[in-house]
Amino acid sequence: MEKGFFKKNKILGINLLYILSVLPLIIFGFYKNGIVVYQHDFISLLLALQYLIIPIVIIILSYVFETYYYMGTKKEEDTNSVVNSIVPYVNVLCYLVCAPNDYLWLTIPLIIVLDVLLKFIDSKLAINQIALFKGILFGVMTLMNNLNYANLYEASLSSQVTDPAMLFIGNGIGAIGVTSSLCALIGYIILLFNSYYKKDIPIVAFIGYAIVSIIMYFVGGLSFNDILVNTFNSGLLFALIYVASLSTATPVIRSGRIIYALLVGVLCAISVNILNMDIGVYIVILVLGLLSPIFDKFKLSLGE
Amino acid sequence: MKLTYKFNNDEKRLDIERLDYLSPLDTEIYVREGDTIYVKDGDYLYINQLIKESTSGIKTYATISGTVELKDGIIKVINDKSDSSFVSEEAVSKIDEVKKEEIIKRCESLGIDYENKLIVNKLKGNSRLLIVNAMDVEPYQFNNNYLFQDNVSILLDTISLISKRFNIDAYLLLNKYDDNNVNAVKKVIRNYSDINLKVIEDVFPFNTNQLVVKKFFKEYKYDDILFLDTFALYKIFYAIKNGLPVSERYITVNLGDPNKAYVIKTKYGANVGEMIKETIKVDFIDKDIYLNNFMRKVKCDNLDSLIVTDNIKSVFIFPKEDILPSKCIKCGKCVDICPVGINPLAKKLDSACIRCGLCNYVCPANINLISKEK
Repeated sequence: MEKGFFKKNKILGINLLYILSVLPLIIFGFYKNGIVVYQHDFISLLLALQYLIIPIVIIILSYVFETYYYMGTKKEEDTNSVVNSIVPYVNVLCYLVCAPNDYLWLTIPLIIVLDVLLKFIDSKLAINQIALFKGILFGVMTLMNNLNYANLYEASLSSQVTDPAMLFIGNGIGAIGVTSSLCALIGYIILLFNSYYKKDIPIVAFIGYAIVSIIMYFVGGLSFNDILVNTFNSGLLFALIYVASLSTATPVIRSGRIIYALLVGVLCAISVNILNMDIGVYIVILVLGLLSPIFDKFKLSLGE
Repeated sequence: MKLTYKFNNDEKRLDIERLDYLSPLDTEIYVREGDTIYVKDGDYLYINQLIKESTSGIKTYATISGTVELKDGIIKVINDKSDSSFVSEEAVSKIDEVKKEEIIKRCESLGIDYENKLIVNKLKGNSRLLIVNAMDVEPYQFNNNYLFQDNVSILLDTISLISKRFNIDAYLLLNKYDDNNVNAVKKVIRNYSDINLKVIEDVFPFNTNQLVVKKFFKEYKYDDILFLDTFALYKIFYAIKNGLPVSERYITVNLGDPNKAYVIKTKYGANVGEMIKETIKVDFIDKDIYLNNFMRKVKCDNLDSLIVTDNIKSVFIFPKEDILPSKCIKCGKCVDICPVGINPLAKKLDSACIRCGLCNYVCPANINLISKEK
């Protein structure tokens, strides 16, 4: 049918844009944790390539599982639910927040098993499956890595990068795909072409984060450089652009969205700048994501 | 004929073809419980002859001449193609001489209605404002537009007459993008000092009566306003001028092309399926058919059992949709676009829902959000 009335499968296009938006992060993660480390002879070429192979395997396995779930278990005859599933994208996000270390191949079964478990209890408990999924996975990955996110090359260096500009590009220590704020911003620009992406959440959250950070600058004695270093070192932009705005785990009402985003920004600022806890960003997003049905009850007159 | 039209912030230039289907093989009228029937099997009917009256006082007249067949709760008039017409002795040469009581009497005796409610109740009541919405409320629909275009001066005369006789302010709402009607009215509006012309942007669904009041006439209560569309106004004119009911109606037909539409002039009671087959020469095999507002996603299973009434305004015959609904991704687009600010994702649909269908239209998961019960 012609453009203008009902359009063809819109979600397929939405999901393709989502996957496209994480490509800069995957490629940068491959470069930083694979190519650079391989060039310094810390890992073999095969291990370097794992940073490119694993996300592809995750996407393929996610679709295989979605096919089994919808067409095998739920007996759906149409492939729509499989093609339209946002799960492969969420699973890639989970991979991107993993640490670049020996446990990396474990992420694949972990992601799939967790996804299976939550999918089956989702309908029974009426929980926000994606939000819980993200949270549990981030928690497990953090415990497994014991908060150590340095790759072998970075671990061998005597000092960490502290130049905000270098950190912005992505030369800080962190999970596979979260260190480059630049790549996250490129991803955000790609996501702006997706009219179904909740583009207001990262902006409002960042405004909330900036306001609290400025207050800390004046009241808390933090230097501007400290704030920039904390911001780019914590993978904040990745969290706000990709995780905090994930449509299935965020409020749908505009006013609820704005309150949610503001709270995310404020609590992230406290977590990053006061508690110096990078994982706190994800805990904040997890908790607020689970509370999104409550935010949907807010109906303030914010332009609605 | 080209027409500029705006929908979903998308300005288009539509090619509209006008067609006539004024001599159907037969017309049908469905009889409901409590209806008073004034004809019997085998009777010969003239055009404009009373056939039945509903319990609410709405009357139905013959729109073609021919023989009556009464069967299974359906009154069928077989067209003899002679167009023999009943002539009223109540015709007047100039409508501006007609008194208030006479207007009420004629509207009452003919049972003229708007949105299935008798207009006479509003005329007899204490309406403080007359609003004639000459726009087509539903998207991609051009019936009011064309009826107005064909009858500009007589419709303006009728608005002016009602305003004077009932001593109420009158507003005429026109679509900003409807150049033909806007220009035609602007040329003559200075002759009608009692008509206020309001040219507004026809962006669906903000031209629905409720939203028009909310936006432009906040100081009035909805119940204090006498709302009419072009068809209801034309019926009033016809009643005042000729003392007769209107037998013709326009219906917009769209075959899935947003740049092309057909406006068919036909008779009340004509079979919609036959009308489309005869005029546009299309079949309905493997098609999704929607009535009046395709965004509501209420499918019509069988056009051949559908007859032309005031409730049939447009027919959308789209290629069969092969996209089934999938799981909601909670993008919130339906909430953002809702013109009345409700949450279509709520388990039970809010009673404020005007069923415009915009939420359905933007939903990427193809979910029918207004199918839930209020």
